[in-house]
Amino acid sequence: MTAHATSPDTVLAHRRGRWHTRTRSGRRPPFLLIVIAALTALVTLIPFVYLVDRAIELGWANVRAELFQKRTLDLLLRSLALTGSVTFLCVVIGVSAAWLVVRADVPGRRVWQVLLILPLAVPSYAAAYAWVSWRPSMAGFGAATLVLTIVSYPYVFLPVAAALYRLDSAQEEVARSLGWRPWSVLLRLTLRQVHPAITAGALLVALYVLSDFGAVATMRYEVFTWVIYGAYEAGFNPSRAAILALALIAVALVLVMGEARVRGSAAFSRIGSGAPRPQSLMRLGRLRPIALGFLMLVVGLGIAFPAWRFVYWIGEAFRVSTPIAEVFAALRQSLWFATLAALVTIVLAVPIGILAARYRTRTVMAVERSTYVAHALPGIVIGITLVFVGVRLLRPIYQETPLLVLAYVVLFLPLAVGSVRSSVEQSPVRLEEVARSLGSTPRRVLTRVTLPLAAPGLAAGAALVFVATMKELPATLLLHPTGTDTLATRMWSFTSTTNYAAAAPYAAALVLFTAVPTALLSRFLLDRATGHSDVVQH
Amino acid sequence: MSSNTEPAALDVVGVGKAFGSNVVLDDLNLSVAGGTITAVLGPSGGGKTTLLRLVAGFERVTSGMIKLRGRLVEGPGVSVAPERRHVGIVPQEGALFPHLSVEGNIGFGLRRSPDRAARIAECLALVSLEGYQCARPNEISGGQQQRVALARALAPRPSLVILDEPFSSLDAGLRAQVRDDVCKMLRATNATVVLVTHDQQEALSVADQVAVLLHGRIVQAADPLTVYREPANLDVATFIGDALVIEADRHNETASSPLGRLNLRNAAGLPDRVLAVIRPEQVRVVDSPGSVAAWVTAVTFNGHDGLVKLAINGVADFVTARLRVDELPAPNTEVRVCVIGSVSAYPKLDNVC
Repeated sequence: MTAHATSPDTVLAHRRGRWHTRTRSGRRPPFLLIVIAALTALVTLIPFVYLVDRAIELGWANVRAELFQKRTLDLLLRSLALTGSVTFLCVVIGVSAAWLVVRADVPGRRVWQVLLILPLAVPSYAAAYAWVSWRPSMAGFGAATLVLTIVSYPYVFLPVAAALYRLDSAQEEVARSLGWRPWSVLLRLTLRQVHPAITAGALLVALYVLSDFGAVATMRYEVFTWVIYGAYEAGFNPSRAAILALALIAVALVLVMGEARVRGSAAFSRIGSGAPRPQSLMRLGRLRPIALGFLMLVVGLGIAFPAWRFVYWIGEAFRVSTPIAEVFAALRQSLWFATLAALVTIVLAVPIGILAARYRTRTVMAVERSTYVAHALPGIVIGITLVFVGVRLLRPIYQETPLLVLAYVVLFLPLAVGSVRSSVEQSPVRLEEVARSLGSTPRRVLTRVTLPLAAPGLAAGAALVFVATMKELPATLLLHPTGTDTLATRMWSFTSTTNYAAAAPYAAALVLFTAVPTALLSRFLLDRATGHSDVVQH
Repeated sequence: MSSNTEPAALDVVGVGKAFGSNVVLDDLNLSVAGGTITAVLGPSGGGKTTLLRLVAGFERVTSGMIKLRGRLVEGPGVSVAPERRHVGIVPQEGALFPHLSVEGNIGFGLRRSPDRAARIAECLALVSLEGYQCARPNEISGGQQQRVALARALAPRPSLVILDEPFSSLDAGLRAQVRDDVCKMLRATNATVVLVTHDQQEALSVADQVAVLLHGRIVQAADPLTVYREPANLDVATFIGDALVIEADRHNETASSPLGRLNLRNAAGLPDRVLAVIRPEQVRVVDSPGSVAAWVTAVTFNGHDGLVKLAINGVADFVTARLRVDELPAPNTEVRVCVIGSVSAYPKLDNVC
């Protein structure tokens, strides 16, 4: 060993520094991929850079005056209260529902699993519309909490259900054999093991609530997003909007970092990749009717109630008049934007996702992280910043389709990157090495091995972006090309003028077209967690 | 190795590989002649996989160089891409492409040409999987997957095929059969093969040359019999096969030990105190001149042979002997034993106990 260290060849090689820049696989990440990924990351940072620039321009005194006043503080408290209460309720509902339909002997578990995920397809403003059109007096904290809880508990339910599927039931059996009672196994072992999934889901809910615009605006509850929109609409007060947006981002970043800390400090035994044995179901006994009642209540509030309201109002709408042609025009527009956004986003996500999965160099990590900054940026903020950037720098595409698609890319790139990355990670590097040894160049390996294997994941990522774009409201509201309307913007304009009957066909079309991909996606994600449909198994 | 002017199929010269401060390979030398099977044998985690990844081009050397058929592929300033080395690999679990059929897997490394289909059929026949061309990797057994992986590596006629512990994922019953089949197929194609393994029985039974990789170096590379009978040093001796190491006093070509007189194979240049390596099958129960008394403490019956634990001079379990069934003594009896054949011996260093 000492002979090695002093060998002149080695010393020379180290001094040239050429052997050290290699990654684990011994090869440098492909240059082209790095360039595309870095450019994409830069584009996603535009809103953030714009806001910081804006704040610097205003000067610290102005920023402080705007931030440290009573109404801003009240705003912060209201936002935090709403975020806190919704997150808490979502964790309670999401975890109990996940446990019931994965690990307890509830009849029809697979049906419940899909039904419980479906509220993901209902945009928050559509859910709010269902309630407010039923009891127009509904408004404020309680109403906003109810609506947001019902549309966002699936963000906890889905990862926790997947984690419960992956758990090794042998551990629970060992705990039982050591004298633990079933309920203490559940509380002291099972729930602790799915803790990372719970915190990750809670973070998603908290970010969702912070950035939600449609529900709080419909329920007239003054939180950051609504006030930012107000500041923008009422007489163009861009500096207040920018400063509040920065404050909102700061809160979101604190949440993201907090979650990373909670997750990082806890030690969890990872379960091996082997297919888990079928798990034993817990017998609920006399509690079964209560469990079923709980599930029915959740599904009733999340799916049945809005469905009933939509049907009711469609009936009303048909009694007046039916602008079928307009609904179809808006539907076509929504589908076109969503398809475009899904395609562009997934194409841009592929280089970053592959690099993040295969080459964990410092540059790559920085690129990947920077796309996640946008994850903490609410749609309203992205919308406003792109309006300003568009007016100032990108005149030709301002209020044109490309700028709107850019907003969607910035907003939803993390969804697509995560999906590309995890599906590339699931296929062994070995396969790519074998392909190289059989004479394929790196580019051919990409098209013949890496991408075909990741195809289901890419499709899932595109579907996620598609659904998210269909549902997106604030950025679309601000950036949609003049003269075009989507389902979301149409519905919004009718709801805000309390023309509930006219809004109904748009709401129904929207939910119909997001529910199908959502149901398919949820099945795919849960099956992947259980290893049912995976071909990459030996 | 080869005395003629044709360059070796693989030449690894003074190769070192470090991951950060962790030195995995250090001044490693290995030469593989064309058309032969070389087994690289070493303990798990000893750098075998690193060596094959360097040869295949998945990692870069820290120092030294690698030549394939005389062509420099890896060295200071030179690193030929894996796809231009013509080195076929058969990974541990086969690593078939799950999205392709058996036919698609085998044809992966073949260019589009009129001969392509014929070559795929030829390779299918070689691994006796005719009729399976449309099967998916998850529809065939582990042994069949391994054979497809082999056919896939052989199809482009590589200058070298590397098998990375190809049989370790198969269960014991299947392993010997698949191993014999695979070796027969490899011999039939006259391919140059490097087989990486930690299984000494596999290495000794299959290879033309066994290269023992210990502490990041090839300590000995020779034919199996030589490696077994004349280990280059004590480490190799104890790594390959079971070995009893005993102290002995050398007198010219022989040495006296608690097991009686030993014939030394390599007496020249040894000091007077030596450590002799005795294989279990060299200990025999016979009453002959020069034999010593031993007490049978335990007998383990294995079927075709048995292991006998012997106490000598009151030291319990001094020797374990491997004896034929008809030679097995009864436990708790006294027998006389001696060592047959010649043994290898090594200088006894003061710090070795």
